[in-house]
Amino acid sequence: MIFPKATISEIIGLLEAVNDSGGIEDAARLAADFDLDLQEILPSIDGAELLGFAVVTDGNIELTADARKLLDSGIRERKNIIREKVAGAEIIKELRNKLLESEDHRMKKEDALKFVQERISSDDIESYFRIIINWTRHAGLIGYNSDAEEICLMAKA
Amino acid sequence: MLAEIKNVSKTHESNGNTIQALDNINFSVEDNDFICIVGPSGCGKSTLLRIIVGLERPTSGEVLFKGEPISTDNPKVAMVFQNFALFPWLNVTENIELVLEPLELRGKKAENKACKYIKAVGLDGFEKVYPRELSGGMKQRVGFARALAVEPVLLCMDEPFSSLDALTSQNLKDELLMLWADTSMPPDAVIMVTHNIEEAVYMANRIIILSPRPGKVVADLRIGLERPRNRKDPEFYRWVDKVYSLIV
Amino acid sequence: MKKGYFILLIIIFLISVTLGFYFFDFFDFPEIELLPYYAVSSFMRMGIAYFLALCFALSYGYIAATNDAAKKLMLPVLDVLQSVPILGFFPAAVLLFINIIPGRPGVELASVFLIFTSMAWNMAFGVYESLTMIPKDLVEASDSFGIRGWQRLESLTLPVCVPKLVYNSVMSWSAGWFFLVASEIISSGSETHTLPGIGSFLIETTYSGKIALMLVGLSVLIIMILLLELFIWKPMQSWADKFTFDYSGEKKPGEFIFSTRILKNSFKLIFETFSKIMVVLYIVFHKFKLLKTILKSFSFIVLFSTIAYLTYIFVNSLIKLILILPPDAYSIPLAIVYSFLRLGVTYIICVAWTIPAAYYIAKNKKASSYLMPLMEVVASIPAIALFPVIVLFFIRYGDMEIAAVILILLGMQWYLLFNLIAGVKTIPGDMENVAASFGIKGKLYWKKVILPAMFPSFVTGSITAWGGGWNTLIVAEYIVFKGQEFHLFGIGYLLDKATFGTPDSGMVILSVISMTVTIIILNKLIWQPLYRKALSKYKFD
Repeated sequence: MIFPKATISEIIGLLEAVNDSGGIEDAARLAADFDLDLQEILPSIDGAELLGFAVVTDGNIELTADARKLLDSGIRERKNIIREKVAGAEIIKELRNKLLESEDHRMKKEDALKFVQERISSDDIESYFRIIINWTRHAGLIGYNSDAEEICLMAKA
Repeated sequence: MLAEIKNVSKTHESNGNTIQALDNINFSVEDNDFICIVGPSGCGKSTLLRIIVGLERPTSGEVLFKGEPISTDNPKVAMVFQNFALFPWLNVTENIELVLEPLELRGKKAENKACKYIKAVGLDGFEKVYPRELSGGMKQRVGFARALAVEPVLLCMDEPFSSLDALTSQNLKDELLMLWADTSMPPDAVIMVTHNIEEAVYMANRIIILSPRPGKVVADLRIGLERPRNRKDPEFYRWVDKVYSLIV
Repeated sequence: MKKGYFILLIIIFLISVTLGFYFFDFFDFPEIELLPYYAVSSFMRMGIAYFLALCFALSYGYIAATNDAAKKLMLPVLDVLQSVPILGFFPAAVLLFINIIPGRPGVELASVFLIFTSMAWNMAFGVYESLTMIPKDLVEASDSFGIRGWQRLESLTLPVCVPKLVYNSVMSWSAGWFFLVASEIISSGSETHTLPGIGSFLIETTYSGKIALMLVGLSVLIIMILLLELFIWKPMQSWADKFTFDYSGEKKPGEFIFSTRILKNSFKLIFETFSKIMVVLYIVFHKFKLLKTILKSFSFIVLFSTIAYLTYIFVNSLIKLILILPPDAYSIPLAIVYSFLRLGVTYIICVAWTIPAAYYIAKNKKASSYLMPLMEVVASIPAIALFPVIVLFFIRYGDMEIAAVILILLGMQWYLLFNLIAGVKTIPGDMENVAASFGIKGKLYWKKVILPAMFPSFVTGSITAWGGGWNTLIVAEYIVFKGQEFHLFGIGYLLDKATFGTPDSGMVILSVISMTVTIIILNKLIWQPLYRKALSKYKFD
């Protein structure tokens, strides 16, 4: 499995840009609009697809109904939609279940890294870990305590 | 009238030469103004912003805020920085609570206020996180939350998006405009410095264009575009072209 | 501009005072005629020790940085060597050298060796750090252009070491002056070996009560230090700037009163010749496999036999020690506690004055333009050179304890002060802007902004300050003045007593070992965790 190295902010930024072009846009043209290489926006496109905000066909990015709902909402409501979507992502679902099974809903960072390594085979697992935590913090699902070096389930706000 | 910039000039001394950075700048800031100051690099736009918030003194002229000369630590004027300027040893909440302390807000009160603005910018879930663990977009959200937490009347921003990658800055601009559209939220007026003209046309309802050194006000435009604006709109591009033509 | 003038002014003043003494015979001391000779001898000792330290640093650092297996052993060894109170080992080393080479050459060698040990370790670390921190793209670039072997040595490996080597050279020389003064009079047992030099001159004149003469000697020493600063280190630092990876393009303010181009060109020439020699050696080394193996095995044999010999002596005396523990051995733990408290009190005084002073100096451009050079001049005087005067004063008018604290203070405070000043100067301007525009001031400003921002430089400064403190302790706790012994109970006293008073090699070894162990434990328990915390939490991006 691959996991896109894009932050939630980047993904929403991409959706906003596609929305400006009327909800569908060619990926290469979009990249050019931002003075970026296609390579640089690919992770964000993958992220949008993974979260069910976009469908990519023949290099065209098309917004889904969920994406439109997201863009029409305010900052607070956006958080809820993101939460729902991130919770549905396979690797995050598994990680949450694992945390739910554990006694105190915590996991050491090294174990979490191992967990990620088993699913995303990469020599740069640390940056995948950071992205996953970026998503789950955004969604209010899983937090990370850098002093204790452990991740934990976040209480529902 | 919120603030008034009156006959502001600034000269720098460097190696015995005097360089004039700003030359007799005049304008006033009204309620509901979202002003973008644009101009070629080196036109002194950041210096002007620093003078408006009181971080620098003008060589001549003055800046009045509600009729009084501006003071640096006026809590009714808050600032957002290009490179975020967060304290690495304080977590998100602590960074915000720090600026509440001079306002005599401590303990539970400060916590509640910090919490309110953390939620407003969508940072909930990141309360206990240290800046070094945050992506650029998240860092600047803290910058916004910190500035809004003092509930300023005037918010000054120095190139707040230029340290961010293109997609993130897109997202942050939209969120900032959402906060701006929310009338229950501070501030009453915004002054933003930017070198990016599309960004200025996208954000502002008023654009002040400075000339190359020494900076003078070349034009003061009211942008009549409806919100939310669309960057693909031909009308949008007419405005961008107009600003370009005035700068060059 | 100002700084150069300032230093020059002090030099001229000191020279005229010295010449005044010299020509007008205010005091009729024949010894004054010998001062130039003393100065040159001391300088030669420093120069030879520095050259050896440089060669050591380059080879040690290079091997540690390029050979992973060797690194695992070499770095911890260097770490221990750095924390050993060098002065403590000195008497043992002297005995060793005099045993091997009798007479003055042996003593000279011992002195150079002591100065060497005070110079070499930080330079070796500097080389290691520069080599491991070569930006990846530079290595890749030189790979892609096929720059290998000797070419890489000349175009990449040597140049990258320059900035840190220059910086550490300055540190090494100022440490070196301290040990020079300590090493020119060596007493082992009943014998006293005196080497002609400025250091021995200072100590002898003081102890024989010729204070005016001692002051002349002191000003000669300061003149030497300042001339080096003005004509070698400052131009060398600005020459070294071009080797840094910092592309910010910000020019450092010129601090010079004269054009340094000639000096810079000569550094360039020296550096190029030096690297040419290295390159030739490298090529020869690689061309002739036989030579390589011979050299390798030769150096291995030398290394091995030295280590074997040292271990033999060490184990031998340790066994003896364990069989018959010297009676003083039982007072070692208490002595360490006493010394530690002495250092602790001094350290607190240091912290109390350097933090506000550093902030004031760093923030006040006007004040720092004359305070900084003044401080640097004062700091450049090796504390040990002032010690006799201080002791003299306090033995007469006060208490030895105060004299010791003042001496340790002199050995500690500058490290902390200069590190803190540098720390305050690196606080990003935006942080100050945040504080100003949000009205963060007074107590809150100190607590949440300035003190945390100073923390990293505080930790690095403290580590070096304590290192300096332990070394100064050895001279501060025991002194013989006009045949009379003054001492304070502590580990330094035990060590000195076992060395100079009633010679007892067992006690020397025991005290040095226990001191070293204490220092290493303190480093591991306090400073290293703090340092890690400073790096992870308190560093600006």
